[in-house]
Amino acid sequence: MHAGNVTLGALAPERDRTLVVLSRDGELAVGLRERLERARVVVKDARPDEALTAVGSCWPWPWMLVGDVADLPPGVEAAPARHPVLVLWLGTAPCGLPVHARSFSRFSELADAASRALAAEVGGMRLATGAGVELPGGRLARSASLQALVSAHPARFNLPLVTFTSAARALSGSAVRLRPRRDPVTGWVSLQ
Amino acid sequence: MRANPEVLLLEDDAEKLEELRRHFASQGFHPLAFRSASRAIAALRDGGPAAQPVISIVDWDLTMAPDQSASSSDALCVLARDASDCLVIVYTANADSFRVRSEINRAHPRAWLHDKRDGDASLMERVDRMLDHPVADLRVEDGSFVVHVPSRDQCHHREAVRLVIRHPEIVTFHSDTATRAVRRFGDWLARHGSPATVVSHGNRRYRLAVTGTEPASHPGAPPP
Repeated sequence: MHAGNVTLGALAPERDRTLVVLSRDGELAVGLRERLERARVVVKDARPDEALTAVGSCWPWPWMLVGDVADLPPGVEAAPARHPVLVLWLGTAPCGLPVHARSFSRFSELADAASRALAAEVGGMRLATGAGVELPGGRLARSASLQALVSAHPARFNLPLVTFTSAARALSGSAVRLRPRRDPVTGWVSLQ
Repeated sequence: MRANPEVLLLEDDAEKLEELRRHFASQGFHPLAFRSASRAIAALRDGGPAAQPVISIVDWDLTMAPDQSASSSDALCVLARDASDCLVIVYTANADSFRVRSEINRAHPRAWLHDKRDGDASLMERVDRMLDHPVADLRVEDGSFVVHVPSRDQCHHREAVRLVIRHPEIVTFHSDTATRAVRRFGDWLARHGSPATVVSHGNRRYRLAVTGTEPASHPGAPPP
């Protein structure tokens, strides 16, 4: 009996917090998977020709995009351009990545940044196990945009404020005073 | 009569497979043992009990398998996609190889890796450690039910076992029957005043949380 159509697990639909790694050999993904707490993030190891499928398999969008390829595979730029996706790059970031993308010369620095993003705590909020944000008092907010704002804090996203509607909704009625706000000068959005 | 949770075993060495089968049977599980990946995949896809294993133990190196039409990677891909609620341990003698680690990660991003060179006993010990690990005032007994330790009351549903074994991870359930069982387990915990609660993440995704404490890692993680 043949296995038939078998889709790579790394390209299967995923609703938990995901980190998509784009590399030619997978070394970066192996390193990150062993470094990061797996109950908090699923590491998807994708090759450049699988990049679009890997990014598209993350619902609603990848929490973080990491890579070390010199050229961004076509179409991949759309997700971080439309949604608050954290972007970390090993080496020079290729054209097409959003301006909030951060590049690192060493793997250890990049892994530290990913760890810090997972462990971020802002105004009593922290990333919940698996997905979402744990609000003060233990309530779970599923908003992916709030998750991005908490992980990136105090950094900002160059996206329209409307992108963060679900974050604002999750915070309304909570004890948290922070809200997604647009900087009047730069137009960038962060928790303030 | 209650059905014990299934454990899927994929090992090409008949002797080792029998050893694993005996071990899991003695733990109260219903072992589903396969020597080739194609048979395991067929069982996972036929909708029977093997389609819902609580744990899968997969040998990465299946060179002695009687049927080579599918690989362990194929089996892991099917587990990742069709049985994502199953805890998966892959063991290999090439655990140091970056290429092997990468292939396993790509086939099943959530699989745990075990080094075969540590010996068969270490695999059993690791699985036992995962099963014996208490979550707040709960523990799994005989592989088939969850016990509230202070009252000795038992919850006999495999989905409860699944949540305890997988704690603190999110588990995606695949049927309304399963999610109803999870909600009943949540009510059962509340009735017993357990600090453990069932947290819904939407879309049939649940995890077990313990008030005030979240462990740093899964008990299945290899020792630092």
